Parts: sequence; C-alpha cells; structure tokens
Amino acid sequence: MRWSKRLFGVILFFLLWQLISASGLVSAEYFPAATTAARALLGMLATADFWASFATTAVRLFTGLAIALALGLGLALLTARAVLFRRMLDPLVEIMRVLPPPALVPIAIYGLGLGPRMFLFIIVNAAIWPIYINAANALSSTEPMQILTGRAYGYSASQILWRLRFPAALPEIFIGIRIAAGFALLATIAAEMLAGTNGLGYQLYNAGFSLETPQMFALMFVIGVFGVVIQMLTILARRIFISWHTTLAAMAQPL
Amino acid sequence: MTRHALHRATRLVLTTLIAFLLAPLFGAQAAPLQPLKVAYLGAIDTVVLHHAVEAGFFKQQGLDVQTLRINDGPAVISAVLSGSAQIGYAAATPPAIAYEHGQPLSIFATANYERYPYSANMTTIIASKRSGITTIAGLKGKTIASNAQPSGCTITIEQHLAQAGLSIHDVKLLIIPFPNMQAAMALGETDAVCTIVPFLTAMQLNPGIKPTVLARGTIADLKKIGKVAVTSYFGSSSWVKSHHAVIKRFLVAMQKSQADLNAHPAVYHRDLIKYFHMKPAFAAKVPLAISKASLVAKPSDYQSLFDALHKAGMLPKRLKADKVVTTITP
Repeated sequence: MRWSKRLFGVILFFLLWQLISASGLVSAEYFPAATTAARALLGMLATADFWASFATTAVRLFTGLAIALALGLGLALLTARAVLFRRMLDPLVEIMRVLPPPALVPIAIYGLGLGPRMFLFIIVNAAIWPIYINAANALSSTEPMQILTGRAYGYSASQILWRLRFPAALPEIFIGIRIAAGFALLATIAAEMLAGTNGLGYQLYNAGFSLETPQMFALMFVIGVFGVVIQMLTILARRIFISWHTTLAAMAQPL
Repeated sequence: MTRHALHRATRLVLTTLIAFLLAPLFGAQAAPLQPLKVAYLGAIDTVVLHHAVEAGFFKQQGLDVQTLRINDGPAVISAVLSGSAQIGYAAATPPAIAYEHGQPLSIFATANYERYPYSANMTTIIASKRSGITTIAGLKGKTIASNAQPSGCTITIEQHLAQAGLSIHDVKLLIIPFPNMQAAMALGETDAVCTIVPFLTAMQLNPGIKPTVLARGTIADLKKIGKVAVTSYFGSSSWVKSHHAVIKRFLVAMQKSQADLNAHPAVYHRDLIKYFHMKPAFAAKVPLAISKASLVAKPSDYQSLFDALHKAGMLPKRLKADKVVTTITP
C-alpha cells in the first residue's frame, strides 16, 4: 500500500510535468516534455558511453563513501575515548562541513592533481562529517543506565565502548551514513562537472554546454534515481546490520 | 668447419649487417613520443586542439598530447600550477590575474584574437527584443548577465558602459553560466547578456529572443587598436622557460591544425558535432570562429586587455604584458 502511494506520487509528478510542458507556459526548448526527456533517456541507455560514465561515477562515489565511513567512524571512536580531542576537533568540523564541494575543486586540483585523489578528497570531505557528527553524538549519549550496568558487570572502558556504546549508537550512525550518501553523490557530480573528463557530472555539463536540454533532463533524472537507489541500499544495510533495532522500535509503538 | 656451420655463420653475419644498416631507420620510428597534458576550458577555440590530436599533427611533431577538460578557469590554473597538466587553455584573463597574485604563469600562444573589422568570435552584448533596449546607454537600470565575475565578459560590460558614460553600478549585474543565458533571456529574467559563440548563435536563431546587438568586443575602442588577444595557451613560468623546443613543436602542430580547419569548414563543423555534441543543423550555422593568425604570442597583443583589467579593478596595478607573455617562434 505504501509503495503504491509512492508510485502514485511519482506518476502524478510526471503527469504534471507533461501537462505544464504541453500547456506551452514554458518553452519546450528549456523545459522539454517528460516524454521527450524519456526518449532522450532511452537513447542514452543504449550507448556504451553512458554506462561507462555511470560506472565511473558509481566507483568514485562508493570508494569515497567507504573511505569517509572508515575515517568518520574512526574519528568518532577516537573522540569517544578522548573528550579533549573532540573539543579540539569540533571547530574544524564546523568549518569543513559547510565548505561547498565546487569551491574545493581548484584547491584540490592544486594540491592533489587531476587524478582520482582529487575526486576522493572532495567526496570524502562532503561525506565524512555527517557520519562523524552522528556517530560522535550517539557515542557520547549512551543511556547512563547501560554504562552503569556495564560497569557493574566489570566491563573495562574499552569493553563498554565496543559492547555497549557502539551497538547503541548504530541506529544514529546509519542515519549519518544515509545523509552522507546523499552528500557524496552531490559532491561527485559537482566535482565531475567542474574537473571531470568522464562521469555523469561531466556528461551533464556537456549536455548543458551543447544546449541539449532533453539529455540534461534525462541525466538529472538518472542522477536522481541513482540517489534513491543509494538511499535504499543504506536502508537495506541498516536492516541487515541492526535488525534488532527495527524489532525493538516496532515493539515500542503504542498499541 | 662443416658446410652447415659455414652457412649458419654467413647468415648470422648478414643478418647482423642488415640490422646494423636499418637500425637508424627503426630507431627514428620507435623514438618515444613526448607526453604532454593540456587542461582546457570548453570553448570553440579548442576545436583546433582536438583536431590536432585527431589528425595526428602532434604525433608528427613527436608529441603525445592528452587533453583534459576542466569547466572552471581557476581550476585550469590550478591544474597547470600543480603539474597535473603542462599546458593550460583559458581566456587571457585568468593567467593575468593569477600572475598578479604571485602564481608564476607564462602565456606562450594566442589561441584567438578579437579584431576590427569584427571577427566571428567577438564577445558580444545583446539585448532581447522584449527589453526594448537598442543601445548600451539603454542598459541604465536594466539587468545584464555575465558568465562570471571577474571575467572577460565583465570587462566587456564595463568597457562599453564607460564609453556610454555609465558604470557597472548603473546596471544590475547577474552571473549566469553561458549555457543558461538563453533560457534566462527568453524567460525575461535578464534584459541583456554578454555572450560568445556558439551561445550567441543560438540566441540569434531563437525567435523568442530576437536579440539586438548592443556592442561587440572586449575592448570598447577596438577600432583604434585593431586587435586584442583574448584566449591563450600557457604553462608555469619554469616549464615554459625550460621547454622551448617542446612548445615550438606544439605551436607547429597547432598552426597546422588551425590552417587545416580554416581551409576545410566542413571539418570544423563536423568537429563541433563531435567534440561539443552540437546538433548538426545547429553546428552548420555556427560561424567559423577560430583564429586565422599566427599562434605566436606577443606582449603587445595583450597590453590593452591587461590595461582594461587594471581599469576595471581586477588587477591591483598595471601589469606589463611582457612579464606574462613569452614570445616563442617555431
């Protein structure tokens, strides 16, 4: 039922798009009909170029996200053990997390060259902070009762971190990952638009430069769907790794 | 020695002799190509670069050129300064501004000029028919779009406004990327734009815009100076200084490519479709906007542009062009 409602929303959106386009309120040159964009999409899907670009973007995104996950979690675990380190890190996090990816491109090229390291730096910088912030907050706000119980059982500080605080923080960590995945996609596309020689962002910029509006809309649709797929993958991972939380959350629902 | 062994020895001597005689020939063919990376900003001028790669003109000069498209002027500068690319292509404005900010860059080739009588590649200010503007003076209080700030277009706008007794503060300046200007103008978001080919062509063909040309040329008094360099190839100062021989070969290949495209407009239009993904019907209407002149950069061709940059406040002090422009003749 929930899926049918969502599908209905999507269908309604495309119908509205088609209607606005057909009404002639906006020139078809700048706002092509949904059917025109769909035709452009089908044409694109049949080309090897598109799939090569898609694969390039996907590899960049998932590699960057994996590194951001490892670093973000690592930092959060470190700050969970060293409060002073967290206090020192906080102002830097506040500065770094608001830097827009396009602004970092020239600096990243200067420091890291035009290769994969430049892309990874931009993607990791966009994705690491939501993971770190969510994880660090969750790790520092474990129920005191849980910690006291752990101590009563003779757990060491390290055991409390790994056996109590970390599992309790996982639901929030997954929220961070979900937000980070969206940011990583934005950063990947932005970096490819400015400094890519391949990838979906590069194709999108080229379509704009060449005034190929239907292709632009088709590519934006692809990027949007890709974003949805990534979100679904993070939800799936959450279900796999912390199914216990879903069960508990369902039990906590009022009857 | 048996007859068989004698034959074998004779064959060995003959083979060695032939190999020794032919070695210089094969050696010349197998000489490794000099790898060269060129970071470029997407613009019509770079058709010459792509054609030189495709037609093998660089290989004939012993160069293995790899092109890297970057869609941001400062990022092209960063690519060159970081050594990710040895050569950069952009408007002449970013290297001059970078030089003035202590980034050691050197322009060694002029990709294109703006000339009087007007060449096809002129930076142009146009107004939509619906705006009712027909002169630069008519821009007072109106909205005009430039692609970036600072940029060649901003200078263009400032130069022509000044000639009409106005300043940049008399207009509402919008920053809109070139590809989006057409939509902004058609939808009435801006009254006028500063643009270049092929976006100018697209707007001129658009019946919803029916633009009026208000002014042409980055420099307002182009009629007086005749020509000004507007786009260039450059490298880090140290690389340019130590690679004159490579640059000469680069210039020879580019000159050959430029001459070939000027002689064969059909190839130029085919390349617009191939490298800029233009629709064939549209590409056929884009004028031949590449340079016909020598690529050798001369400081005198840049001075008026740098003076205009200084006048517009984009360069804190007057920049003598011979500091940034190196003349290398192939």
